[in-house]
Amino acid sequence: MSFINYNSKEINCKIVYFGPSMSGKTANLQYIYARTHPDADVDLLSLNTENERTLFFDFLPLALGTLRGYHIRFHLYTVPGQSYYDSSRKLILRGVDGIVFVCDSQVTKMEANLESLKNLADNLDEQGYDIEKIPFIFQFNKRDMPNICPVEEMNKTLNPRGLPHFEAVSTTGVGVLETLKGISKKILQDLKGSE
Amino acid sequence: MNKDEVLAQIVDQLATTSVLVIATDGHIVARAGSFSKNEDEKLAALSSGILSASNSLINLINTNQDQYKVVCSQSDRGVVLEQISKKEWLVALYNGVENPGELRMQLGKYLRILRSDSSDKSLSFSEPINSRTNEGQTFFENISDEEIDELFNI
Repeated sequence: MSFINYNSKEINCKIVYFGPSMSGKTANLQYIYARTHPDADVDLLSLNTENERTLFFDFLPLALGTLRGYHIRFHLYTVPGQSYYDSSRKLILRGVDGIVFVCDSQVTKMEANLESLKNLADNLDEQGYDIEKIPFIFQFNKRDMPNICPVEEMNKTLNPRGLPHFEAVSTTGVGVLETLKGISKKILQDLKGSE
Repeated sequence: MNKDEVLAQIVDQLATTSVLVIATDGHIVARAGSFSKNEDEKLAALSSGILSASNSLINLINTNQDQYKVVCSQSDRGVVLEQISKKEWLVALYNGVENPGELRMQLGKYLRILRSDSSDKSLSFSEPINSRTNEGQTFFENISDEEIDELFNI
């Protein structure tokens, strides 16, 4: 759940990038980091294995401007994609305000996408979240790869509810900020509170 | 003494560099000390990860203890994570402390105040997070794409 500080007029929200292994979750944060922190006053925090795969999470605090008088800050997290890090994924989903599901568009990865989506639904359910109520969008990543699934087919297979989706190539930044803006808008529109 | 004053005293009296109160999901509830906001957020995210993992470890070894602490120390510097309540933890970062063991003991008396009844408003943080709920009025109705573009401005 979001943290709203009425005194300092600050809102903090947590966004989690979820998806199968090597779908480009960390690449999303790396691109956002490069675009938003050119003076490098903030580090992208990555807890990696020796071969640069995410071990626990990546974390990027993102201080944006103001919206209707409130300072908006997003905390962006990724989860490790490998199936055996399920415990870590559960922990990172605690207090989540919105989810970007990063899919690998390659035909050969569709099963991994589905498996990861089911894992997400199970983990959210276990923590008392309703996947149909939480702000949620899809990113169809790696659109520059050969042998990719058509978008219509990806929506049919992964996104039957017709949630917003964004095509992306996270390594070059295509669609990355659009995705972030998409989930941000959904979270902020969903935000409720009382002083 | 309200809880913000308690945090300030921890910084002054125990020579800690930075003291945070964090929620278990990594959000900062209150802070005192000299770290920058960005460093604080990194510390909070890492602490939250450590706490989540250690909580699972504690469950694995099946202890019946309600409260435990996590200490990462290296000679005269370190971080102490102590539970305040089910949802809040104290994170105290110290550097250049001659006797870290003594510091950790001294923290105990401040923790007792922080753990006191949270329904007593005089003992709450003066800059509280008044709401973290999915109930109540909608904050931002009909946000336009232009507003989102302006918010990001990148």
